[in-house]
Amino acid sequence: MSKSYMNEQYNITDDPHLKSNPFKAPEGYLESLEERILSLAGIVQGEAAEEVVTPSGVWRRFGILKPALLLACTFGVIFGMGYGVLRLTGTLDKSPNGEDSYYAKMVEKGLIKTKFIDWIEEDLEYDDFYEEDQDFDEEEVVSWLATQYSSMELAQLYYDEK
Amino acid sequence: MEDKDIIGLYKSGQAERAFTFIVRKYSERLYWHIRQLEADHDDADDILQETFIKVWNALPAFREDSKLYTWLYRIATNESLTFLKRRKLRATFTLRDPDMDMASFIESDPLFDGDELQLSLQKAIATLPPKQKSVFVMRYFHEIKYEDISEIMGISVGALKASYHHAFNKVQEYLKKEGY
Repeated sequence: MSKSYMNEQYNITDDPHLKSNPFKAPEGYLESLEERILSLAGIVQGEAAEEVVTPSGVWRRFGILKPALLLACTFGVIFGMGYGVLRLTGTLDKSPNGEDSYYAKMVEKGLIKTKFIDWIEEDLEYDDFYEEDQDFDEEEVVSWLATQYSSMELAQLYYDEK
Repeated sequence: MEDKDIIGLYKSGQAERAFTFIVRKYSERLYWHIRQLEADHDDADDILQETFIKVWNALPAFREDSKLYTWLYRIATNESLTFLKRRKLRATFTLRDPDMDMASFIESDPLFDGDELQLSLQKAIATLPPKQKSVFVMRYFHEIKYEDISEIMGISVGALKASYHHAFNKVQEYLKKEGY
């Protein structure tokens, strides 16, 4: 209706055209509306089902911890890759000026255990030392004492014992 | 499917099927209801999604004290009113006039397909306070009975009639100023 042929006050109830919907929905929106809302409700339903299926809530807690675990794993992988590269290039064993590092020297001297087998060997040596049926030769004990202590120290020990 | 059959389905333990029928029957109607309260399509879509999430969560608490469709309209209307209040609050802080914003939005909205008179009517509706706007839209466009609007809004029929009368006069006045 045009403004020009309005002589009396316009009444909105007299014009059925005004009651028609002037808005449009984007193409395909209404067709997919039902499916979208149902899939949205499906997410809600999934969460509700989880509560029922896991009474102890273990999986729910796992779900909460999952990002933290993922982060920890990522750090682990990055650290592992970095360590691997350093090992492969030998950077770990060398100091910046190209000499063997203090760590490498200590490893070489056997003061730092780097391999699993070293720990096993140490345990084996320890067990051998305390074997019950270990026999000591008297001569061996005397020669060992002679290498470890001076005659003065041995005399002092003998005196203290008395 | 009738509303009572949908409720029957829900009561027999078929909640998902009942919800599917509710969505099938009411999603489009509720979309247009929300869209006429909140002209922007994206906002209307967000409000509609929120509405159906609330419907799904509140379905176990649905008592048959009210009709299913008035219950659905109540949730949709409340969601829209909350959204409108929030927008008004935001506009207050940014020192903008939300009514003017809405009017200029409708004018430039490519999804508005009305003529000049319909545009003026929408601009007039945009100036109404949120609750009056809801009453006007439900009565004028959807021709919902006062008794049902009373259930939806939780306002007495007498108060509703007065509210609609005020809104109607404001719209008429706006159109008169526009030259109609």
